[in-house]
Amino acid sequence: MHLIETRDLTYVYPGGVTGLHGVNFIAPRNARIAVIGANGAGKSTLFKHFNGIMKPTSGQVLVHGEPITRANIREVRKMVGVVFQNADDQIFSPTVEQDVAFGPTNLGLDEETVQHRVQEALRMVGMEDRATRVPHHLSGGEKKRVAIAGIIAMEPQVLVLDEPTAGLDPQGVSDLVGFINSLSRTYGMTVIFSTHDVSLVPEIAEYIYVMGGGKIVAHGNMSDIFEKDELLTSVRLDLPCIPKLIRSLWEHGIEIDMAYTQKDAESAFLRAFRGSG
Amino acid sequence: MIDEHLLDDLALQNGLLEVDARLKLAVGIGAILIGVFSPSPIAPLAIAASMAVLTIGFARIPARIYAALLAIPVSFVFMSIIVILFMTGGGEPLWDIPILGHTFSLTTDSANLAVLLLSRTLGGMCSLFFIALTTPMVDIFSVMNRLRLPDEFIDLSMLIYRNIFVLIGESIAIHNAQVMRNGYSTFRRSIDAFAMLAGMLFVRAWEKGEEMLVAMDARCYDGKFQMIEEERRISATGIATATGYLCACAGLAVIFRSFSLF
Repeated sequence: MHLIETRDLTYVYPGGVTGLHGVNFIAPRNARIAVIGANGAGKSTLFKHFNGIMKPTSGQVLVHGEPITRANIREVRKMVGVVFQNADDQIFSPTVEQDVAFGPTNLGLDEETVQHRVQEALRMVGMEDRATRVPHHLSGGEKKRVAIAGIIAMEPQVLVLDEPTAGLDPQGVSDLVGFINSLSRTYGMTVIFSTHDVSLVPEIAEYIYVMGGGKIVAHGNMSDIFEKDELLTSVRLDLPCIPKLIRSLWEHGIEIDMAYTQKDAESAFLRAFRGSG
Repeated sequence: MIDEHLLDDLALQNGLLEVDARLKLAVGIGAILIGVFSPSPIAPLAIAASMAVLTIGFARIPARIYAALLAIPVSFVFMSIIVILFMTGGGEPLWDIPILGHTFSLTTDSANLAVLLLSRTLGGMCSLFFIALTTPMVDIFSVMNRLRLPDEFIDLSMLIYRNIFVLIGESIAIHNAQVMRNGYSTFRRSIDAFAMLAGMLFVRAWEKGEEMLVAMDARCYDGKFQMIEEERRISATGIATATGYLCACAGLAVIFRSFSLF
């Protein structure tokens, strides 16, 4: 049984515009999934179905094999933590620690557990020294971390991040990549994130869904998706820098192994130029 | 010099931040009440002076900013004083001003009332600024919680506090966008632009509210906010100082109860 599964999910906006069209999406346990697509491809709309914020016009959303109903919606939101794109809208308490405590408090946990979870979540995102700050004194990147901590503190099984790197500086992006990977490895959290920054994808994800025009146009692992440019350019995306470079080296007749992450590329280049060994 | 977070920033960095919020609130509110009930201007003036010293001297609020803040209520009170001087009567005439065949009299009673009004306003505003500039809102929320005020009231206050800054941010963003495109270059355009800003702000506030509700639902909102507070005891010296100060103010009010300037 999959953690999250959608079957022929179709969503039509009240104005008659189709947001999602027959989406079949599967998130197995412990997966790290990237949903890539250009602006308006339907990524945010899809994510809002995962925790029942939006209701399908037709088709189904299953969490642990169960459709989302009024009766289980709290359970679903406890399991599926969604971090929305705009961090400002998610922080509504007067201080950072109060905001992170909001979710656990509403799960009915006792004060000591709440405190413990708040400390832990803030430590994970590297904000433990700014617990008593007021939100309007935080930078964009810090707000993002607080928004993520607010979800982590609820200890969801799935962490869903909508455009997590939007508006972050390069250091902020690499910090984010670091702690998302550690959440996934250390706590076995399933991670689903959306982006149109294709170079971010290999750093976190192992499986990719490509969206365009409210549909899933392709899905597969890195080599399936980054095999040819046509697929990605057809949905207004592009290949990440590293596979693109390696592909153009191939055209010049240079023999080098395909790589997607910076680390793999480094060893591929070393092998190619020094000879294997 | 003055930006949208100024008051909040000052309160979060003031020199009396470590003093228990309950003491500061008690001193501030006590002083306001004594000032308002004092029949003579002596006690309110003493309160105004001592509060100014506390705020500038001890809480280290820059005097220029303090003066700029105080100028707002003072300008209002001067406008009221002019009306009171000429519209109320009683007592001996001090000064007769003939205007267009009528005589406007300034009497001792009206002068005393004007002085009392000025001193009470100063005393009250200085006490209020003492609270506002030395006690961050977050501390006030936790005092409200200790006073067992209804949760709904406290939660609503916290949401309002947070959203004030969100909306100020929005209005600055809209205003900047308008200024960049000459929105306020003529009087006519500035009226149009301001109307548009107000309208947009309403729409944005509505949208922000809906987005906040979604964000709260996504985190299992169940009608509960967490109040984080460490158990703190007020020091005996603190209580003694505050009580002493309030007693002195009350004493001044009683001793000089029948004092009047004119």
